[in-house]
Amino acid sequence: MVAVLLKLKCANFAALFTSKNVWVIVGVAFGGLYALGAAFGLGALGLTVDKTWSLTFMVLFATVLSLIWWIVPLVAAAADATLDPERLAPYPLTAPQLMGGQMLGAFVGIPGAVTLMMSLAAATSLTSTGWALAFYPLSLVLGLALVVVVSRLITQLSIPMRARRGVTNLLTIISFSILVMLGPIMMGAVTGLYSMIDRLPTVVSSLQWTPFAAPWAVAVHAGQGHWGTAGLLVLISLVYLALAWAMWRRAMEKTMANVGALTPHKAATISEAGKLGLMGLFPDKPRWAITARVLHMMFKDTRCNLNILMVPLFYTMFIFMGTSMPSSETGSNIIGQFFLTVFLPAFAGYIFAYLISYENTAFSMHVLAPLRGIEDRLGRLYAMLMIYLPLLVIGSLIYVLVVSQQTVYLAPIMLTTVGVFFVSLGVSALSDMYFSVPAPPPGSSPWKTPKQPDGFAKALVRGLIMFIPMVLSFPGGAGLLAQEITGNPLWGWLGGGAMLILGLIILILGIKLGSRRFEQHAADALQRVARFG
Amino acid sequence: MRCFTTMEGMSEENFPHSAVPAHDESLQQPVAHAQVASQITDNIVDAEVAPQSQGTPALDIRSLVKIFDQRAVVDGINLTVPRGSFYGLVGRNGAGKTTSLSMATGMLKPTQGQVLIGGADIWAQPLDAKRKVGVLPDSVHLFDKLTGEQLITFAGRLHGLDRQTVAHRTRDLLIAMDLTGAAGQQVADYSAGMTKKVALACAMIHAPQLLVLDEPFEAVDPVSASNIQDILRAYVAGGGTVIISSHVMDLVQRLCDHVAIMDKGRILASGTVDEVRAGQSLEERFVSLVGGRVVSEGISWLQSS
Repeated sequence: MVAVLLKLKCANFAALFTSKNVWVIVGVAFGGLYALGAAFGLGALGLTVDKTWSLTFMVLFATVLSLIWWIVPLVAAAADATLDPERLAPYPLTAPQLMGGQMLGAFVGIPGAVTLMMSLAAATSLTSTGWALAFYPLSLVLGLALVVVVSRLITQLSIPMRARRGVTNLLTIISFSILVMLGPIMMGAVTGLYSMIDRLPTVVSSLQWTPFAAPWAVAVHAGQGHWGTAGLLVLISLVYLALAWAMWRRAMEKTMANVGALTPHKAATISEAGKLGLMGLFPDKPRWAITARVLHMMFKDTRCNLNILMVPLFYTMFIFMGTSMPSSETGSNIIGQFFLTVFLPAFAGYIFAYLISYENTAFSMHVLAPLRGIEDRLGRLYAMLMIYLPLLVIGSLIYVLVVSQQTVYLAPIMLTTVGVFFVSLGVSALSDMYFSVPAPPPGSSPWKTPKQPDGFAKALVRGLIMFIPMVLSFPGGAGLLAQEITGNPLWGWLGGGAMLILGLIILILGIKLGSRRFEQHAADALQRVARFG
Repeated sequence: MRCFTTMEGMSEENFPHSAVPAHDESLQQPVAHAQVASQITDNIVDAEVAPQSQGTPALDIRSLVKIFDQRAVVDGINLTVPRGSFYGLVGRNGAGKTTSLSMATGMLKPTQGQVLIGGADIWAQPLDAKRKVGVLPDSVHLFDKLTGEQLITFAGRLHGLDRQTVAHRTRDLLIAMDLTGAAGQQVADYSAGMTKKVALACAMIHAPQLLVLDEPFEAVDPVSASNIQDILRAYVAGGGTVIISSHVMDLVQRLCDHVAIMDKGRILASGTVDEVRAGQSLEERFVSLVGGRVVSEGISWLQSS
């Protein structure tokens, strides 16, 4: 029966490649190359490790691997539900059969393949002794089994917790913030590791006895002739594995006995009748109704509010980086400058093009109503301006004041930021009537990879749209550069002013052309987003 | 404004007079039900039909074609829905009902053909045409982070109605749909039946002359279905026109006065229910027209011994 489940999982994975779309395969191939590169990097690093550090290397590798496998399911458990007990409920399966299928199935698919590749690459750190390599397969089997079993146990135990909508949203927001801040966090971790490099062996020597690394340390100790330690580690690994398996089995049996009871239930949020929310505040023109509705969606839908959160997060990150770095390293400041004055506002404006994709077929309400294009475009524009303009203005203000502490750059940077934002809004207001950006359908996890019904080729074209506002940021950027070189603030003002005017022109043009296009082609946009699922 | 249009070929027998299957009800019943209907009509929005467009059919579909991947999903259909009729469009799954109705309401561009709503071409004069029609599309998402009340209000505002009118009509619609208790609840938390009802309310808030309802009773519990049927009957009695798609023959025979049978992108028969069913039950007639019945002696190993 385990074989049947495994075959199901394999067939599901293979279907990815047999799809008619060549670009899916191209995408997977690129991902595979990326993973292969990472594995090579790890392998090369492993080769440089000598005998005294091989334990540290292995234990740290195992700890990171375990952490990834044990934390990710908390957020993205819904991503792959092929062997979900809820789905397999109608079939007469026992808990161990399902568990066997899930455990082995974890290695089918991209995360499993990458894990295997990385684990094999890590073996390069053991090449100094033959015994270590000889025992590595044992470490590998025990280690991977433990990683996966604990991962499944955590997934199973977290189901009731994740069933609460508030908890899921909070977890999503926290993990999203971590993802955005990953760069600084890694930097912090690496510098932290370096600063405590003397104490590292002590930490590692206790870490090796924990479930994080115990099986992986076996091979290292065997290689160094510490047979007693190696034997003890095998024993303790087996105990961990048995314990995790037993706990998983109990949890699984409980889940299987209560199928359906733990699916995310909706906690009814009842506001009183007569509360029209923002619609009660705004004028009663169609455009203002749309503004109110878009604002409701952006703030209440987890898929969307991550897009809002992103802006203050990036400002915080670069302010943090800018202040913590020594001022001699201006290189990172220029990257931060470019990111915050060009990329971030361009990205914020591009959210306009995501709106209809997030609405999915609910957009039919706009198409069915006798709605002028200008009402739709302006309604969305007002909402975008209300959310992002204050964030960008305040963010860039604080950034300049805190990081560069040079008020002469204040006006040029703020003008450029707003100008690029306007350009991006204008471009998006027209482009979303031609292309639709894939987005996860309503009600699904923000982590779900959206369907790409148009394939990779069109995705590339859409990616290029993002470049238009970046290229058009030239006047603002040139002005800033000229000010930096000559020291004359006039250049900055000129560049910023030109940027703002350019932004306004493109915004008006985009809204006008987008409105005209809407009146003839709104139905096409609806059909496009309907295919996202 | 309320006007009754004569419905040709409409007999007492298939006049939809009750929410409960009513083949054996006596002929006195319609009077009592007409009173109930008029009470309900007072609660909800009446269809607004301009005098000059009363002569035109409510919906006129002319040689409509839709080709997907070189396959004609809708293969040149013609359909005239007379004003004041309760029209049923029946067919198997995949017959092209939803595609036809999507093209008729401006959600999907036809490959060829013309659709007139109250005389206005939906693709050439979309604003005029869309003002006259209310649509309940099948299986679309709603803006479900809004409360029921907010969603209906949004629909009204989208049609350019002013604040007072929207507030007044929203209240009436919530009462008619029995959603007052859930008015402040997010639509995401609604049951399937409630979702259909709130979507129907959204389709009706601008007092359209024509309601196009794609599978309005699917996944709706019997009580809600009966309530919706009452509302629709009252709407037709008040001069409105309704076209519903369905594959439940009994429901269409009971509820509608006109019917069109669709299969493989074509219309096989259309007219009054009596004309189409020609003495048989609608289901028998449908099966004989569409074909595809498999004569089977049962599956031997499935018999529990």
